[in-house]
Amino acid sequence: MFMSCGKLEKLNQNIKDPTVVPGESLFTGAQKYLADQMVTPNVNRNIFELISQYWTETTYTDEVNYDIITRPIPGNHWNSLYVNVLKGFDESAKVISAAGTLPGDGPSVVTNKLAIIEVMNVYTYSVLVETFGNIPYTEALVASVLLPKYDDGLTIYKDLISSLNAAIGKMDQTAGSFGGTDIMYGGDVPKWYKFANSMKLRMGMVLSDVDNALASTTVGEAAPNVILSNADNASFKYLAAQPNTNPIYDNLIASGRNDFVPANTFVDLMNDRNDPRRPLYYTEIDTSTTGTPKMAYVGGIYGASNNFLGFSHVSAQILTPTFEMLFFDAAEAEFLLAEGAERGFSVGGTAEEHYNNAIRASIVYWGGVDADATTYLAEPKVAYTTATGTWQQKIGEQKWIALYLRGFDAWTSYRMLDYPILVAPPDAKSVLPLRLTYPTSEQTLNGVNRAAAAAAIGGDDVGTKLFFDKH
Amino acid sequence: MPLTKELASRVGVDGLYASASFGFKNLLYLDGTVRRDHSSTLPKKNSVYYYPSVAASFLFSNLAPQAKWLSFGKLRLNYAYVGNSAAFDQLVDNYIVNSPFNNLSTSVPTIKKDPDLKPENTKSLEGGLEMYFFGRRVGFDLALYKTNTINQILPLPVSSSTGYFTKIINAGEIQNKGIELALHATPCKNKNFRWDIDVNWAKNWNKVISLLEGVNNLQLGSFQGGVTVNAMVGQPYGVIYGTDYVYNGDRRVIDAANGRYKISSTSDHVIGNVNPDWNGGIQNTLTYRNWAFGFLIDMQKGGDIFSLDMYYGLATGLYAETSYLNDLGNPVRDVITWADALDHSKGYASNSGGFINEGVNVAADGTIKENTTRIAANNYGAFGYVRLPNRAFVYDATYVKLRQISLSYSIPSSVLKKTFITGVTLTAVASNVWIIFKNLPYADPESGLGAGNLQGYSIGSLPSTRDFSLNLKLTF
Repeated sequence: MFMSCGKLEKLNQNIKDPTVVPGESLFTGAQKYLADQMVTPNVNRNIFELISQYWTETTYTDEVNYDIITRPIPGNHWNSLYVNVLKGFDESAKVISAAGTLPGDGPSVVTNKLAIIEVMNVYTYSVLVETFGNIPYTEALVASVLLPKYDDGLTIYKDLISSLNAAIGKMDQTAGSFGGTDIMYGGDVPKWYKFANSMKLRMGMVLSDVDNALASTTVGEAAPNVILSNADNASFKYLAAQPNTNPIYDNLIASGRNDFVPANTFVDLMNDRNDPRRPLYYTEIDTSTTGTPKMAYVGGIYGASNNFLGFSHVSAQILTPTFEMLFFDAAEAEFLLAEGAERGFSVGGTAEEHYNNAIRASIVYWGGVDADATTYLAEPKVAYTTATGTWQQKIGEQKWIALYLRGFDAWTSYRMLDYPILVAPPDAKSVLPLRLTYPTSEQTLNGVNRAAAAAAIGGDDVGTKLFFDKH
Repeated sequence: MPLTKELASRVGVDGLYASASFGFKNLLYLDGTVRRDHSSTLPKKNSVYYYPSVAASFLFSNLAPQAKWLSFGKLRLNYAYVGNSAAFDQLVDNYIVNSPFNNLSTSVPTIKKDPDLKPENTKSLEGGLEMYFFGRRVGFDLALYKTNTINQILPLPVSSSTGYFTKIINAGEIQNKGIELALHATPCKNKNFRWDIDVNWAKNWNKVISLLEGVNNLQLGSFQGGVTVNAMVGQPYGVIYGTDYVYNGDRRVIDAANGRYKISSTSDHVIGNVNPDWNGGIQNTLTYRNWAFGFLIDMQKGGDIFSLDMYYGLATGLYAETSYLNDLGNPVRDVITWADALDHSKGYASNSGGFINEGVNVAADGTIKENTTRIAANNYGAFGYVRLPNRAFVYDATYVKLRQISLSYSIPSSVLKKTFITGVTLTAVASNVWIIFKNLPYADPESGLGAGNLQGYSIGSLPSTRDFSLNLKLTF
């Protein structure tokens, strides 16, 4: 007549979803979510490509005019990084730790995996800090703490550098780690070592106006071990079939929409220097009004309404489903070394050497040849000694060109160097953002802590300068 | 990114139930019930729970059967304690399997489950008085209730910096109190004709008494535009939060440089409340011999609704509100022209387009003046969300509707006497006939996005349908 106790509770078992999975699979999931969030041009999730003025919009121009409230852009960025990425890496580390050394693996494999996860954690948190400033950190990701406090941005950043150092210290380059479950490097520890040091270089440089001593030490330690060859680039290679295709392909081709064209600010600067990367970045259009074709690269007016057919379009190679996304490349590392040299940090070599290496690496990565680079570097506006302005301007403008499609990294670089000169469009809802405002939902879900953080950083506005942005 | 997935849910409850009823001289009645449930969806230590109820009624009209004016009178009181269990699979965390990326790819779900979940308990107290007079020509039924739910099983939205979007919890206490009143009258009644009127009226007050230790807000929904619907401790369920105008006293502040309203810097201003002040209806039924004609008028007073359709529709120039003759008598979408193109301080030309927002400019030194700066209306976003706070799109959801009209004819029994059929009634019914009055432009206030607990948001509202039907009822 009655079901026994045990039998009734058994009905509540979910037989379709697993309660145990390999930790490596959680790493794969989190890594993909991170790559997606950093590269997607979807206007609900990431508008850094617009803020950094690489692209502009065609018909719907809210986002290029900095409307970040109608679509919860800061919220989606924050949510993706905490829920889909950091939580995934956190759980991955727990499961891998608990599982211990797997049969057939050497003793340092688990340590290597955990060190790599830590590098990804540091990367993700650094993105959050560079986006918002103060954020939940020490009390984040704890299910029992529903109202985590926000920690001070600079303190977090220094702690991240310490964690990065610890992770680098633990890596055993002679041993293996993940296999194919690591889409970035296939578990190649020497390459992870270089990527981790490249991150250390970048993070050290970010602190150069705020804690020069720490920046100098950090940069000096990292400099000899960074990515210097495109073969070591930290990239995420997408697949040919949905849902694992590049989000740029998803949003610009698969969607059937024509929302973006390259921006005139970007195209004009590259035209001015006869940059060989132009055909690799975007297409030419016929600008003649008579019968004879007159091909040119023309960018849409930044911030304005642009007829898609009247301007250059994003190049075909970018719009393939398998186009890879870059976390870090040789060009960026060399530019950072150039900046370090200009600041007097001990990076070895001169600023000019690193600058030249960077431009060369970028041109070759995008599909140009070494000879193009040589010609380009001889242009008076490009050659380091004759290019216009301060070292910040020289490096800033060339780095901007090299960081195409990496709107977030270009944004941080812009805030550090104050070049290229970026001007907010006339109809903008706000000044050019120097940070994103805290997600609107934090006001109702963690209101007290958010208000405290807003006060601590000097106001929860897009115009508030973050701790590293001193000029 | 997750794979198309399968879901298999099974839920079981074993219930034991006992009830007893007592009656005393057709005057007093007492009913009691006790129920024990054993649910599959709670953890073993909490999976068995008991709940009783008791109801008493007093037919006081039977005390004085000689009083002909009092046809029926009943006083009732009941107290019930109801337990409720959880939905399937709220206890054990699992993983999500994504589409493989060369290898297995998994993620942590965005909902954190609770292995210590307890059953919900609802205590409700209700009292009622029902009286009919003069052979049921006039009467009323008044009910008062108070319902408290404790340990309500809820998915609580939490800050995503916890790594989750929601956490399943037993949440504090939520209270509903209310009045329901039904009035009946038969003003006219004779051999061939009668007219019945039934009026009902209801008002509910709800309030979140407590949630979890340290948590004082339950976000019921969050939408485009940064608008959220929340239940804060100490407030009713369903307060709308968003951006508001900036005020100087009770006047709206406008930026003198461009004529636009200043918008609050945060989205946590109360801009509406989805709960209506009251609901009611009036049903009139006229019966003449074998014909019956009835119509029902339904109404809601109050309640707020946020319209995303107006938010976008006004911005894109879709609605008539964006094209009209302005204060100068010119089409508002004409360009702005100046009396002296070189000296704007001389004001606008008489043929200028554009419009002036009503409000005040506040100078840096605090001086206040009426706003006179025009805004051009010939571009996207002059009206609509681009330049206005969320509050501009919150509308009062009051409505009065002709809900239903029906006309029926019953074949007289004299005709049917010789057949085996004892009754034939043909009824024509029209539903949702007419929205007599509403405030929400271009949409039916009842056609919002929300369902269940989540109301107050209107997006992509489809027109509601007017239905016609014909019923034939045969009795054998």
